[in-house]
Amino acid sequence: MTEILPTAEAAVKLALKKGFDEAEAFSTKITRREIIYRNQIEATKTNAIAGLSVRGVIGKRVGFFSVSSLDRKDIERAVEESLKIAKASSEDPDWKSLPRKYGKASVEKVADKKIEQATAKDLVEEVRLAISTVRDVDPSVSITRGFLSTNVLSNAIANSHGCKLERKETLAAMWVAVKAGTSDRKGVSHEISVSRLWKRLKTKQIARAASERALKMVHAIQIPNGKMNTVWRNDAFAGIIDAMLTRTITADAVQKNRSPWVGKIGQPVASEAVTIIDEGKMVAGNGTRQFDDDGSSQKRTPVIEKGILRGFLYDNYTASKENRPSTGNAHRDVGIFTSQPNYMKTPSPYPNNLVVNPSNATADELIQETRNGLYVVETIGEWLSNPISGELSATLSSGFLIENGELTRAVKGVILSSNFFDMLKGKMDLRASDLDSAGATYAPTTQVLDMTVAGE
Amino acid sequence: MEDLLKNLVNRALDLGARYADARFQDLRQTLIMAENGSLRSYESDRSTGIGIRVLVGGAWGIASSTVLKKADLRRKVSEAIRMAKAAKKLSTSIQLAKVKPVEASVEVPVKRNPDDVPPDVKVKVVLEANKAAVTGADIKNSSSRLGFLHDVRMFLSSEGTKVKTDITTSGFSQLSVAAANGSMERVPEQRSQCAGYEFIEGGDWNAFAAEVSQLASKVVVAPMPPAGTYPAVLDPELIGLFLHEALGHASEGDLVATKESVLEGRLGDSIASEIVTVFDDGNIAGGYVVPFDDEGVPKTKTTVIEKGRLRSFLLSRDTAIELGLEPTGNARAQNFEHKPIVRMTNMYMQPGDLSFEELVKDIEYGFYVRGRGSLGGQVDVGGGTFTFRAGPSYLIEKGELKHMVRAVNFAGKVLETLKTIEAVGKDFTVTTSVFGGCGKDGQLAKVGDGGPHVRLGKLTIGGRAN
Repeated sequence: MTEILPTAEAAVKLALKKGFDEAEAFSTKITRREIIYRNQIEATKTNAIAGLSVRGVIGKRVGFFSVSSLDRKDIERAVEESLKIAKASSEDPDWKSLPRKYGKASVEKVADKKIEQATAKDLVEEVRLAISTVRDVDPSVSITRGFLSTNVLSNAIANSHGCKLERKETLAAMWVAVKAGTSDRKGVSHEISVSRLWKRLKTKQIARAASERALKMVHAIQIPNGKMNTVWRNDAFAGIIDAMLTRTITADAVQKNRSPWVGKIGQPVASEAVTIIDEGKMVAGNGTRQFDDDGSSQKRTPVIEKGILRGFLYDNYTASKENRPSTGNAHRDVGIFTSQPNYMKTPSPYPNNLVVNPSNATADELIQETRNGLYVVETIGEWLSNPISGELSATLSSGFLIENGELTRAVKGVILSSNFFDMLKGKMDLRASDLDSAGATYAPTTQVLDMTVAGE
Repeated sequence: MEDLLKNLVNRALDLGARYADARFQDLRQTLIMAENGSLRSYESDRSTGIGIRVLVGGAWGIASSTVLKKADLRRKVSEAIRMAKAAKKLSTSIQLAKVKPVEASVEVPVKRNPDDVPPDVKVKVVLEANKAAVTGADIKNSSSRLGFLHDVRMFLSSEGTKVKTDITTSGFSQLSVAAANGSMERVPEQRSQCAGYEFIEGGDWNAFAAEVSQLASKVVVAPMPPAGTYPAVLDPELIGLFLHEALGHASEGDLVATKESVLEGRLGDSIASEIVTVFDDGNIAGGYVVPFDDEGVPKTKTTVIEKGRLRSFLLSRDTAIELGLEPTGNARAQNFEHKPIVRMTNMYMQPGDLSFEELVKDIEYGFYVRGRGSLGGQVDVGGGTFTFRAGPSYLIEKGELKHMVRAVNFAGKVLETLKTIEAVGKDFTVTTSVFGGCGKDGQLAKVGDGGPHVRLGKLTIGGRAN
């Protein structure tokens, strides 16, 4: 297999020769293995993906083309096609230049040898553990869908200013969907564990948690309309933060006036208890990389600090527009599970690991403190919420009533809504210490006051 | 290419597979984006790859590569077989329903190949529309996109099936953000068709983009609807999304076979009111063209609900065996690297005979729920709860359309909501999208959906508490 960095360098060289003023090549190699299972293994999968894109500039005209190959003739095609596109493009008055300097941060635990070297047998054994754990909880519970995947992601970037870098990360994910009950009365639940490190996969814990909850969901009820105080499990709340913030706190969204945060830097936008930081170098973070997709080193960038809006996330393009340094947030994909490999896209800013600060309570203490309300474990459609108007809406697919400080009956099927901007200002101040993630967004278990419940 | 695929299939049989297929894909995508009056990006790519699927013992072994060299690919075949064998002790016992081998080639007729249209012509279209969308000072952001997809797939199996499909899709999308009285709102909307550049040439995208902005201007000052459960009339765009979430996913055979779906065991049962008939069809005007699935099985018109009764599930060859039914040509893969899984194609409801006025006139207090500006939906097939986000909608009072309300989320229960369908309109529209798709198990599939205007007795609306 061709080495990805020399290939990128060769592409840059060729692009200059063909007439570009500036050129950049970004190359990718992904080795992905997957086991798809139910109560037994249904399929095993192995994928090798390679590709390269060329971004070339003539004056202030930018062209971009990508190919799913690292072969010389395909690279020639990428250069030629991007040249055609650049010539046809209109000038971008904001174009300054490709980065003149690359940077590489020191990060820990993002590439795991065990994931790279795991044999088919290792993968099968991990799946066996998931299957047997579910069976041990209760023989009536069964797995309806599940997968285990391991990914080895290598990227290289080079440009005509003499910059070049290479990086490698790993990512493993175990997902399980289980059901309990009968045809007439079913309970289902889903759990996922995602990690850069093999040994941090929580296979047994998630298989057990999913099974136990599915048994309870068999008896789920619907509840009437009203207002309720709620407690969101950490990963579910991370899903809300992901839906409401990740696309609007980027410099791109702000510069283009599609963010509600325009003009609010330095202003209080949340209560003092709320701090949200993009931790680009978080140890073993799902979004941690040595450098971003522009070649800038990843860093720590405060977004909201003690309630004050502090800053936005920049890539090279948006940063140079404001004559400031990039925050190392260039992404060629959005989120960590995208359906297209990253080389196919031009960079734009996006959070690396967006973290809502935890507190020192336990999840149980939050539930006790809430006394009466709703505990939210799984929702659907939260991603359909509107981060521009702040209208948050999520449909509960798995949750429990909180009665006298304890979890009681299972609940599903109601719509929970609130205005996220109001929520930030004192309605989500009570948080636990237990950070967990939805993709690369991290949050603790959080109490959210006063949500509207649309039910029966 | 055919020889290479044949070689790989034979290699798999030699190594002990009892069935094998190989899929080649050549995919060209172009996305041109303009924002606030200037070109934001012009991304274009070509990806090619081969996926091999082998049946060894009871499980599938799947391998894929973007390196199209025979020696490499032959090694991939061995790897697929080796991995499937490693899973042997824990594997299922997959059987495939018999199908007649097919040899066919289907191409969406294209008058003008989008790849042959000079890039500057396309850039001009998207830039002009982008500027036309700035209809007033309240429009803070205008994002416009032109998208093209040219998906060529070749499928070859050890049973002698050989199928080639060549599908071109073109589309335009507009997102407008409006601000007023300290509040902001966005409206996304798109139009696409399985066709060439002639679809773009035939549309007035400046007018389309301006209309989206006008809608954003109106909805940003509209009130939230009250939270609760109300009667509703859904428009054709939204009834498609509604069916997709409220029925479609639950009718997918893989989810039925594992008993995850709430529709399991309900074939022949009444699951909707008698006036409801629903199809999944690979070939319907306006929808996405799926002549064959990714197992080489012809996708024909499947009657999912007939006069309220559940008539069929959507099936692949292996789920057909598990459920004792015939395959329906619904095994689809996002691309060459993915395992074909059961997916919808174009799900739509058969029209009835009522006018829009007749649908609305008996509603004392309810909502006219519109698809324009909708973002999609999601379903929990096991729990039976579905949700979708409508576009800007309208209040109905005493049988008449009143003011606009904000776009909010709606929810219902798979087994209950279809029974509350009270009346079916006589109009009919099916649409697809070159930009989005339907996500399942980490794969995105192009789908279409639609139907007539439909009245529901009960739909839960996630607005504000009164």
